[in-house]
Amino acid sequence: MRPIQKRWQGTAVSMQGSKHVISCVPCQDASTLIANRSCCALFVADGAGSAPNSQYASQAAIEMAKGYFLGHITARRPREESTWRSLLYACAEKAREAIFNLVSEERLLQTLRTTFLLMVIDANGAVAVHIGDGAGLVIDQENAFTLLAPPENGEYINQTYFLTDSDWEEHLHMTYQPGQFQYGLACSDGLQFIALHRGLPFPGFANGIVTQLRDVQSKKRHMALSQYLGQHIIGKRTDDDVSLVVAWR
Amino acid sequence: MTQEMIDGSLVALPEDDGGEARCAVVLALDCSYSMSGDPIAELNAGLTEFLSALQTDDLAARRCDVALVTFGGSVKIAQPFTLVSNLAAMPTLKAGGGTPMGEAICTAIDQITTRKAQYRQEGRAQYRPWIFLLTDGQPTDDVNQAQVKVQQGDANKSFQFFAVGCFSADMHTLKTIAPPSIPPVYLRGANFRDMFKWLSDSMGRVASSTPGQQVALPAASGWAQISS
Repeated sequence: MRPIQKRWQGTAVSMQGSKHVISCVPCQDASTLIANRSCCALFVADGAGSAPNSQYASQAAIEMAKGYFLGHITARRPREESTWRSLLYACAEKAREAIFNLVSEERLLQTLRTTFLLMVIDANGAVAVHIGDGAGLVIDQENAFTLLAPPENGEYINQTYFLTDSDWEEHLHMTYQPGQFQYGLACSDGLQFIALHRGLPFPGFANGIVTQLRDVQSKKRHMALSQYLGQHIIGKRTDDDVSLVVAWR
Repeated sequence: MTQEMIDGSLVALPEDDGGEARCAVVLALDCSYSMSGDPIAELNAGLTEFLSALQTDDLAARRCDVALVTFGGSVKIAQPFTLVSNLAAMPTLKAGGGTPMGEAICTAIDQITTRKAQYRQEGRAQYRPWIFLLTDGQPTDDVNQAQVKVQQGDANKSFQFFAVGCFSADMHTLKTIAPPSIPPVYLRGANFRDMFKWLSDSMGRVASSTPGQQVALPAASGWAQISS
């Protein structure tokens, strides 16, 4: 099998759901992508709808985790599973700390709740750290899908777990999957029932998005994905905020 | 060749079934003899409006899965669980017989338990189910088992139980059955329509709720009063 060695690329979009447009609540999701020659890192955080400052929590978590990841990935590129796990756990810890740093008399901790997902793919495999809902998928050269980061809800769909929960480590899941992956996708719960169908990856969605985004100029990819989500998903399939991060090589 | 947009027709989406999630609702309705005449007619009219209101709420229509358990002489499943979007009309209820409320509550709980297991088997996400009890009289059967099951179900968060009494309802017994966190309410007059409007509004809010969101139900002050 021919090894894949192209540079990683992709885009990340977070968009306000129709429910939040009507109620003038800002988008409470945050997402970003790091893509270079050696790996890609997909970040998604989904602020809780019941927490009025959750948009600050999701943004702080993503910014801190991204900064920490970049600082450590460039200093020494980890390759082993154990090294990846340590780095991703540290990213989640730092993201949590960043949220606690936002707490003040006016901004209580219970108003700052967010899920957190970080998925990294390199030449040897994929690793994810995840708390809460949303999902992370990786797809290999044979177009076989692996649900690396499944959503964790409670018994009911409107229950999940957050980075600031006191028992957060009980619900922080780390998974590693060796293999050569051609692309990956991470999303918040607003897209969970589209990227997944009855708990399993739904290939037509991911394939349709990535196949077309590959043919869009890099500087226009964010716009293309935003337009697609705005026209075909938001208000039609969900009224929630949506985040979608895709990366391929 | 480069393109500038994503062609939505080339992106497959899963079957549009309301985001898969389901919210099971059982209406346990008193159809005993004392509901004869105007009350049962008003109840039927209220049910029709309830269905109509849910069907105009896109998410609620695709997520709310409604069943009707009636108790009048005997306990019947007048409407098995059906997704609101697939429900053409509510059955027309007729009044007659005694008030086997205890058995009706247990039947409603059994229906919920079976349906939840079915969702799990299908890999479906679900909202916390609701049981909505409406009665106008005194139970004519033993309600002890129902009391225990409701309290257990509430403690385990297996479902939400709402009890509404009307006309000559035995509010004292309802109070012993309903969980303390959601005490029974008394329906003002035969205001079934406003009650069902509240119920459909509430179901709509639940069906569109997102993780971590505590659903604030609309005020029931227009049709209900808290029993003392």
